[in-house]
Amino acid sequence: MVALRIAIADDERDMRDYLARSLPRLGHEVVAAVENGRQLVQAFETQHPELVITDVLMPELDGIDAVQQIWQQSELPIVFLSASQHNERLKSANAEHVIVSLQKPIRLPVLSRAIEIAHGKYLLQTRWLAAGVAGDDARTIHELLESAISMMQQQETLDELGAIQFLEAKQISLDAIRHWPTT
Amino acid sequence: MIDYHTLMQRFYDLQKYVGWQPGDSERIRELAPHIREHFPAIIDDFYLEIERHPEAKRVITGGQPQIDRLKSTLLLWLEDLFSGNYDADYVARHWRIGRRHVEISLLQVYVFAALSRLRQRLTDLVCHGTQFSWDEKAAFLASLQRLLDIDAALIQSAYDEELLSQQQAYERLRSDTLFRNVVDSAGCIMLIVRRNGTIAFANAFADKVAHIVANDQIADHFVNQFVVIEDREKFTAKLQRSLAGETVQDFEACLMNQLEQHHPILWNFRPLENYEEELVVLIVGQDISTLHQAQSQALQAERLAIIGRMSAGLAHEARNTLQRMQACSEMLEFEVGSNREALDLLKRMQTAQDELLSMFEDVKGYAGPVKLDLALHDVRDAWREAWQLLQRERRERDVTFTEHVVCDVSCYIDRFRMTQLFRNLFENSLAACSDPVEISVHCEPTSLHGQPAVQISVCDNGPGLNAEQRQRIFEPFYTTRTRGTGLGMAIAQRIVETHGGTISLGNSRQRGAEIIVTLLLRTSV
Repeated sequence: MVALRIAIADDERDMRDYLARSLPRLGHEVVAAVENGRQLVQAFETQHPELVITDVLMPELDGIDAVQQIWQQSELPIVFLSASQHNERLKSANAEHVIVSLQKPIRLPVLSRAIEIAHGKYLLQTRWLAAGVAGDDARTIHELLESAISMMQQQETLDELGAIQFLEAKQISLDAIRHWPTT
Repeated sequence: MIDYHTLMQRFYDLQKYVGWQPGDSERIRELAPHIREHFPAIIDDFYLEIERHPEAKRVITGGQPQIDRLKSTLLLWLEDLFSGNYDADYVARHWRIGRRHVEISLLQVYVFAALSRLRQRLTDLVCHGTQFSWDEKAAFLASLQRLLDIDAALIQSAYDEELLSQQQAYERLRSDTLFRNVVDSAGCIMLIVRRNGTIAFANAFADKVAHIVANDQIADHFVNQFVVIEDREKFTAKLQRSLAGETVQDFEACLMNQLEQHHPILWNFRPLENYEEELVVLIVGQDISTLHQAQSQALQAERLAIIGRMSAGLAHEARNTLQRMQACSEMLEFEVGSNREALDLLKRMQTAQDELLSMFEDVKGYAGPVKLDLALHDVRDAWREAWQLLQRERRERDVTFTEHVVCDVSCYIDRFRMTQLFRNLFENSLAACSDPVEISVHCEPTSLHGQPAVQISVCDNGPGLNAEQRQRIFEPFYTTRTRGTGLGMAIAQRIVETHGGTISLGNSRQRGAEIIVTLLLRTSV
């Protein structure tokens, strides 16, 4: 289990309290608990979290806009919590960044898993991006990552987290994924 | 037949028209003795001429004896003509002669040709009469012409009347045919019912809707045969009122055909006198099933749209609120530590929250838009997964689940939705049956809209469905359970119908309930 520095944003006090109290039980450190997107961007700049958990609909600046601003400075895995199931803006952002979207209400085990998935994907993506040849942009790497995960899920009968951990543990390279035999 | 008053009116009118004066009668009476001796010769000439005209002779079918009779009639006519006494009896007699010619179908032209011939003979007699002065001849001729003109006009009026009545009869026939066609092609029930409850007339629509046909035999009163039992008393009361002479308008009562299908009908009763010499009731009934159906569909669609909008908004807000409840109860869980009782209460609270969430999802699933993600699947996988998902509900129950599949069950389906469908059906069975529960799925090939399909029946060994349940099972929010939204079957119906299939109730192979789902095989929707 990894221990991460996490910033959280939700306009509901109950949610902020909940995340602030429960995440340490999973071994993480909550470096900021804020109530809107503007504060989240500020917290990112001062606290340099490794992962962000944020609500989507918030006053002043919403979660998606805030995260866009953060991504302009640095790549960061995000866990979105939203009452809505589908959000087109999230879907398009998901094409190159690591996003895990959860529909409220969520329970701690589900959130724990989502954090691990987001972090695992982020690590893989960063490693592959560094190892990638010139011309491999984040979007291409991201697409490869997603297809590699679903291939692993099928071939090794693993769930999503299991597939990510498998890819990480075996240190499977980008080239190997590119030439992975599809059955 | 023309009435006496009208006939006399016409006669006086004709007299006036031709300028008939009282002096004319005098003169005719004066002339009569001078020409009477010539009548037999005139009559002989008359019938000799007829011999030469086949169309005129055609009406004489009785040979010489008839001619002899006709000759004596003509003599009487001539005698009458010259009697100088032109009263009502005279008019009636002469009109009847015209009428008789009509009856034997003698063409009118021959009647007038014959009259013309008589007129010539009589004119000749006056003109050649040596005993009259020129002035007398002129006066006699004038009176004679008027007399004959009036007689010709009387005959003409007999022909006119015949023509008129023929036209009327034709019109009647035409309008009868028209009426019958209208009645038979009318999109409503038309019946004529006798006092004794037999049906004197039933139009085609009545036969189509409820197999009602005219019947003189009384097996059972019309009302008992065709009106549903709940509406019989009302219907009979209204029928009685109409038999007492009253018109009854616009009341609703259901008809039932031999297949026991009910048709809501809007009725109108009107008493008809003198039909088959008795008072009967004309019944007109408008089938308002489609109206009812359209109304309830419109209402349903409207209700659904409102629920759809409301549930989308509500579900969103509820998720936020439930999240806060979840957050707080989990935090509370941290606080209570190892207090078993408190932990149990928290668990129960969370179960209640889960139920609330699934209720919101149900409403959204029923009222929200359904977008299918279709792929070719073995339908068995869907119900097997549904059965798996119900593990918790089956725990500590004595349940047997069996499959009887004798055909291909590969269909284009939305796997998730189809699983939800079977889950809803199995959940209902589990809730309705007491242990030991037997749930079975039977598949057999069938066809739907002329295409190969599979019929999947889900049966249980529960108490089955009563009449009310059978009627209302697919109604949203209808439930017999104390818990649940009453949307399970409505959602099931929605899922099947968006797949282009049908869902209905069967008559269970066993004693319990049977739900029949029919899906198209291997064709994309």
